[in-house]
This record gives sequence, C-alpha cells and structure tokens, in this order.
Amino acid sequence: MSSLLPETAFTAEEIRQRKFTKKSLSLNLLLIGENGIGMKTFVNSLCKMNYFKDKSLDGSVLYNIYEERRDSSLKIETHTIDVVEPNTSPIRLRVSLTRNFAYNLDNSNNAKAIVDFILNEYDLALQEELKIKRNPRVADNRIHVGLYFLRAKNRKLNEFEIENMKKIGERINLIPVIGKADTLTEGEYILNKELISSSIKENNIPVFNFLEFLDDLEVSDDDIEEVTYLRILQASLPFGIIASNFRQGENFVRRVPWGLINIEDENNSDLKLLRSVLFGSHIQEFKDLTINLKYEKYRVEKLSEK
Amino acid sequence: MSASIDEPQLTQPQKYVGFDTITTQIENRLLKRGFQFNVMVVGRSGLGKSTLINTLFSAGLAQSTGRKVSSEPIEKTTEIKVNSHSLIENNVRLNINVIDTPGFGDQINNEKCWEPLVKYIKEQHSQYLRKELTAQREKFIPDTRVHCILYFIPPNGRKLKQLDVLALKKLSEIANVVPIIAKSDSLTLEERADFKKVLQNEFIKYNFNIYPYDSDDLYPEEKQLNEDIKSLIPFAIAGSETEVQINGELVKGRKTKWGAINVEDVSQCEFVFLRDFLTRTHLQDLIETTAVVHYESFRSKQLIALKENASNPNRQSAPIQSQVVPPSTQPSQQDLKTQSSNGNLFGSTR
Repeated sequence: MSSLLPETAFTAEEIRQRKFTKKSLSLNLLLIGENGIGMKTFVNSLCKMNYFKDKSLDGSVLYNIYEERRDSSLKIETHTIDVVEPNTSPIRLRVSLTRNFAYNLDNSNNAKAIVDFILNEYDLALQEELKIKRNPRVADNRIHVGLYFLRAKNRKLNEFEIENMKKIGERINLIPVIGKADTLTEGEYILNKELISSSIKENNIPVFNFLEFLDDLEVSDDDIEEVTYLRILQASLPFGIIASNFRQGENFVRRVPWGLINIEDENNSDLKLLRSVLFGSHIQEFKDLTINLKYEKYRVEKLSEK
Repeated sequence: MSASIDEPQLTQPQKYVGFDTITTQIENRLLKRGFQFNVMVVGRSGLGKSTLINTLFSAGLAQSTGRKVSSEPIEKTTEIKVNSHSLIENNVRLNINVIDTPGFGDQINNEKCWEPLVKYIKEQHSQYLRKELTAQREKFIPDTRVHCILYFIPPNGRKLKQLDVLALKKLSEIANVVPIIAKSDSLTLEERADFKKVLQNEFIKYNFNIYPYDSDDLYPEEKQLNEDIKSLIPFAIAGSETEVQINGELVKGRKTKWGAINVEDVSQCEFVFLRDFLTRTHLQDLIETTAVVHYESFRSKQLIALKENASNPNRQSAPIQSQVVPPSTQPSQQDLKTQSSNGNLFGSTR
C-alpha cells in the first residue's frame, strides 16, 4: 500500500502513549528544610544532573564578608526541571524549595508562610474552576507532594517540627525524610527512623501513609508484590537520604576520607526508593490524592465561607 | 606593665643553693588541692555535645545515651544543668564541672535563649567576688567561674544563623568561647574547608572575641601556637564513646556501612587538636584568662558601681544574696542591664 505516511510513522498505540506521557508526567514537589540540609543536592541526585551548581566545588563562592545580611525571611523558590533519562519518559518536575526555613530567632511564622504558599495555588485552581470561560490549558501548579527534611538528632521530634509537620501535612501529601543520612551508623539510622516514626504517631501528625487505601484496593494474588512493595515503603519511613553533587563516572558518590558512598545503593540510603515513588509508582497517586482530598477539602472550606 | 625599675642583674650563685625546687614545692601544694575546670557546652540538641565531652575526657561525664530514648519533656526554655566529676591522672586531680544547656535553640521562638547562660556566667563571677570581699574569707575560694564555652555550630555549610550570631557575640564578651563544627563527619574535606572559611569570615565580620586572645607577655612559640590554633578554629569535630575495629586496631570511632571514621585520626577530623588544645596546651591559660580578663572586667565594673553607690547614698541597694539563685523558668528581663546601672553590687542578676 502506497502510503502518505513516511516510513518512520508511529502506530496509533505509540502516538497515544507519547501524548499520554507528555501530558501526565509532570510533578509538583515541595521541599521543606533548613538551609544546608541538602535539598538542592537532593534534587541534583534525584534528577541525576547538576541542575543546582555546587559553587563551592569550583572555589568561586567565598562570600564577600562585608555583604550585608540580606532579607532573612522565609522564601520559597520554584524551579522547573525536565528530567530526561535514556529509555524512560521525560518528567517535568516543578520543585519548590524553602529558603531561610527555621532561620531566624523567631520562627513562629514559618508554618503559616508555607501553608499560605500551598493554599495560594489551590486558590488559583479554584478561581479557574469557577470561571465561566475556563482555560483548558491552564498549568496545574498545586503541590502534589512535599518532603519535610529532618536532621538526624537521635532525639524525638521537637515542638517546632511537630507543629510545622502538622500544619503542612494537613494541606498536602507530606513525606518525612532524614537529610544527610551519611553520617549515621547503622544503629543510629534505625534509631532515628524509630524515634521520628513514634513521634509522628504520638502526636497524630498527618503524614502520607502508603497503606492508607490498601483495604479499598481489590487485591488479588497478583498484587501481592504490590502490597509487599507498599509495606516496605511504609516501613522505611522516614526515608533516609544521601545525596551528592559529585559525579564519579556514571554514579553520584560522596567521597569522605574513610570511604566512598554510592548514593544509588539501596543498602545505603532510600534515595532510589524515593525516586521510584516520586517518578514511578506514586506519581499519579499523589496528584489524584491532592486533587480529590487535599484540594477538595480546601475547596469545601472556601466555598462554605461564602 | 610595672613602672620602669632598673632590672636587677642576673647573678648565678657560686654554689648550688637549691631554690629552683620551688617549682616542685608549688606543684606538690597544687597536687594536694587539685585543679578546677568548668566547661559549658552550648548548642541545640542532637549535635553531640555530651558525646564530645565524654570523648574529650575519655570518661562518662555527661549522660548521652540515656537521653535518646527517654520520653523526656520538651524544654520550654534554656536550662542550666551542672554535673560535677573528679578525674585523676598520674596523681593529678582535675575537678570538672560540665555545664549543660538543654533547650538552647530548640524552641520555635528562640529570642533571648542565651540569657540564662549569660546570667549563670555572671552569677559565678558575682559569687566569687562576694567571697573575695568577705572580711573572713575562705582560704581557697571554690572556683565555679566558667573557664571555657564550647559552642556547637551545626554542619550546614552556610553562614551563621541569627541565633548563633547573637549568642556568640554575647558569650564571647564574658567568657572564653571555643567554636566547634559539630558532627563534621557529615561534610567532605572540601566542604569542611569551605565552611571554615565562611565561618572565619563571619567571626571577623561580627567582631567576635574568640579565644585564644592576643597578649604581650607570650613567648614567640606560644604566639605561634596561638596563630596556628586561630587558623584552625572552628574545630571540625566528630566524637565517639564507642570503640570500633579499624585496620585491626580498636580505636574510638564511628562505624557506618561504608567505612569507619577514626575520631583520633587528624586526617579525618580535628578532635585531637581540640583535645590537645583544651587539655594539653591551654588548660591553664583558659583558667587564668577567665580570672585575669573576664573576672577582672566584671570585678572592676562592680567595684566602680559600688563606689558610685557609696558616694551617692540616695541610691537603693538590693539585699546581699548569699547563695546562687537558680535560674527562674522565664528568663528575667533585667538580666542584661549591667550591674552598675542600678547600683546593685550583689544579686542584681535576679
């Protein structure tokens, strides 16, 4: 059959897939943590690229010592990164990071500032929904999932952490992670996860639960793997993160005088696990839950006000 | 410096007299009495303060493991907790007071969380002064003055937070402050070097009076040692109370899945430098500087105020307090007014 289509034309199935992946593989991520806890490095490692340039490695960063202390109030900066890896669909990651979180003497406004940021996007979505003439192409900037970076202290959560996680976890899917986990011995790693998990339970902090909707799922025998995976995820919380800006060959590694840490190794950290959750197994789930639960809750609140 | 007198000529006795044994005589007296060292650890919780103290003195002086799993109440303010110990090494007895500051920097609002610390330090000076000025005073006044503050900076790699700037400023004005990069094993060597430069710039920028201080009556070797120390500060530390096997040897260290850090290896962390600095080279200087610089400054302010008070009889003076007042749960608003402003010599730290 002579064909109007060039030889490299795709089948209908392939075209559908391409369109599907173009549309659905986006994710809006919020990272909450103190300056210096490794959020930018985490993003680099997550996306396997040096998006955030590590200035200190090229030695050009030393601060002008007379530089005045700039505005030290809490800010949230948003970046859009196209994560492209061979043999996988590209992902458009919109990542927002806090700057100057827990930085000042008095940090009682931090929780509100972050919640306001989240609700602002919900507002914009709501306003768009309520328009008579809606824009079908409007970008969805609502936060789909947040990571709260904790430092391993060998202690339970303190007042500040509890309050922030409660307020933020009410509004978005919130996953607690331990930043800079490379300093921990095996015992400390387990201890910190236990302490944080029990703190979360004791204080009823609304963090994301991988097993939450398990009962609703019609789990057949084939899904045993799926359930096991979910149980592993839940048991690994909070995820311990080790990240690096330094590349050696294929991998990102952390090089310390007493060893070399391959951050992709699952025995070392939960980075790979977290990546598979964010970019793979739960990418759609986070979006669905945000829209159907968190955003919906806000919507009800807002519309009931009127 | 004393008024210029002609320096007496140095004469060597023709035959051995034996007064050079006075150093041994002094030593024997001092050995009997024992030495007193008071060190305060400051920093938010979980930075390894107690572990470091235990590592420094190679003894369980501070309770670190117990706190990890206890359901201890969350402190609402900075507390002062003093632990006293007596260590003995080769007949030399060292009495140590470790002053812990739980709650520092741990609240949502940390304004003035250093005030209980400042108050405690000034109270010790105040107590010593009272005892000194008593007519029938004790032969040896027990020295509870804070000789050294170990200030723990979290390994963020960033400029100092406002809390650290203000606390370091206040504390370095009234005591010897030795800043430390806590848990420095979370930084690579390059990160550590950069962080140190950033911090050293911050120290200059805010004009902190970091120990050791310049002094004219130091030998050149001592001056050189001080210069070396100053270029090292803040010390990048990792501590450990447990021993691990590294290359067949049992050393103090931390064992992770990818290797073990030997805390006593100077190529891995600066614990040894800190320990030698605190215990082997500058222990006496820390104690002396506290007495000669910080206490003197407190004392002269107090005595000037007392004079003013005496010459101005209309001023009221507070009743003399004869015991250390434990810090109240709310840091007092009056703490930072200097004693001279309301003329109270004793006990205005209430």
